[in-house]
Amino acid sequence: MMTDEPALPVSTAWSLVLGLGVLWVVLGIWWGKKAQTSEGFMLAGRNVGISLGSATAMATWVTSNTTMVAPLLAFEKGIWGMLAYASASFGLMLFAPLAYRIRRLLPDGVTAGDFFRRRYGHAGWAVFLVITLVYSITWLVTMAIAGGKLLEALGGIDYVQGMTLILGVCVLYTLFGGLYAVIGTDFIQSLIILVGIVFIGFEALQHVNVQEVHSYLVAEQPALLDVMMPAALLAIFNNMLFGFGEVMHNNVWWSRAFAMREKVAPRAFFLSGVLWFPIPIAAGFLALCAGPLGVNVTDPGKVGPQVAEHVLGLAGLGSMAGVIILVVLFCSMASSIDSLLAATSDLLVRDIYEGVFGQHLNPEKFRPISATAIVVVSLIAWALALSEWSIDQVLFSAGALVASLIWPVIAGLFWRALNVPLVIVGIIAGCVTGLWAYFQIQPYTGALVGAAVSMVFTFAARWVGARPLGTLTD
Amino acid sequence: MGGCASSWNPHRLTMFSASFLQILVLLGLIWTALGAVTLVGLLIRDWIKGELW
Repeated sequence: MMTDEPALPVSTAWSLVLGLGVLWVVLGIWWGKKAQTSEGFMLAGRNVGISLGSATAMATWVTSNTTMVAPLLAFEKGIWGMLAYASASFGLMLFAPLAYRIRRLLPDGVTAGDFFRRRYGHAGWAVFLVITLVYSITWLVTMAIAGGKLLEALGGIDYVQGMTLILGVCVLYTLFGGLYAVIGTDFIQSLIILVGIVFIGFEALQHVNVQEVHSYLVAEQPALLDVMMPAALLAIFNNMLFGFGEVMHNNVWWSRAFAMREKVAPRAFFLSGVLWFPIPIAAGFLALCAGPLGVNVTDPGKVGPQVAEHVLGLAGLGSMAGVIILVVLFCSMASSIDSLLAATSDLLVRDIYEGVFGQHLNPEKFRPISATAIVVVSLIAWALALSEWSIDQVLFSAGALVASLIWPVIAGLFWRALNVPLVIVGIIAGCVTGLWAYFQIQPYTGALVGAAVSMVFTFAARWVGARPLGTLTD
Repeated sequence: MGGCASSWNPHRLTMFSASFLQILVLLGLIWTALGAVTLVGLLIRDWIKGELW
């Protein structure tokens, strides 16, 4: 894949993606029949069990970043790089008690916007909407760009065509099936991802043992084994806070909390974090094998798939190597793209269409509105992805924004009185200082600073001019 | 690098050991595999009890 020649013939790549796409769309149509009301479409009937709940949370958190950036971090920052990425799983685990609280306090809640509007008023709601829409759209765009680049590198498919294909497939089955389709396909995709990573990892161990990897690193790249590597230690905490902020604020997770049965939600989120934790480690290990295996890494950003292709080639799998890698990466992207489409369009429907414009969504005639929202979100993402610009920098800098929401979410769920204007000022201050730190000091300080500044204001709001918070039920 | 490369390694005192890396990698792979098994097991249980969704 990292050579100039694609790993697969163009026709094979097209067949594979179209075949998987048809499968997901057929399943989406089938499962979509369960969505007879807007609540069914947006929240899968609020009755999702632990198996599907855990799988969808875990699969959504597995993105192309997990399978490609985790190896990159390991390649550049060694063992701490792998562990730094794995620390993002704590966000899912820590969302468990929040999910319990969310279900108790918002039994009829639909989006995270419901919480912010009722707890922090229109000003807090507006600040939240700006942050979450910017973050969600950029995340979606990075997934679309990654998809296009993946199909181009692996299968020789033109970037625009490949990116459009991946987005189009996800839009179709989300359109037909709503959250039922998203959750159902997430389960299948999560199994493919887990099995694929395990297969490739154990195959790597057939050709290089860990002692060899360690010896190579000691001789050639000892910094990657450094227990006290400063940049990596910083990355761990920044990544962890970034993860907290992402999970705690984004409607992708709140919609799942609302979709699962009340007693299932906390257990499912905790389990999903536990299931997700080892994936960056398994994926990161591949990057550490590059040197001992003699793989010439031309682009560190693709070291994971490059080593995977090499390992599977050594195993005699030939072109099947490209097939396996494409399928695993496609599933990792689709499982996040569909969730983002569904959750972001829910925000547009619930918070913008109903909330801002005061329209009433007929629970049984919801499909045109929901479909319009999904298409709008996808068109925006598609248009932004056309340029292939380095939007991953925008996404990473957004860590400061989302980290600024950590403490306001926790405070709003667990405290009864707050100085709301002070909290909102704290969110904005956290965003500004976090972004300043990201660009002026070092990228791995953005989320740290954003969370810290927002925390100070939120704690101050607990004791200075605190007033009882608005109720969470209309 | 020249002969000096092997004379003193400033990272040697604070390095992750080979054993640690071995445990981490094996744990990561086995844990990931158990994750797949767990999900399938939970699915079967939910299906039997009619609690899928």
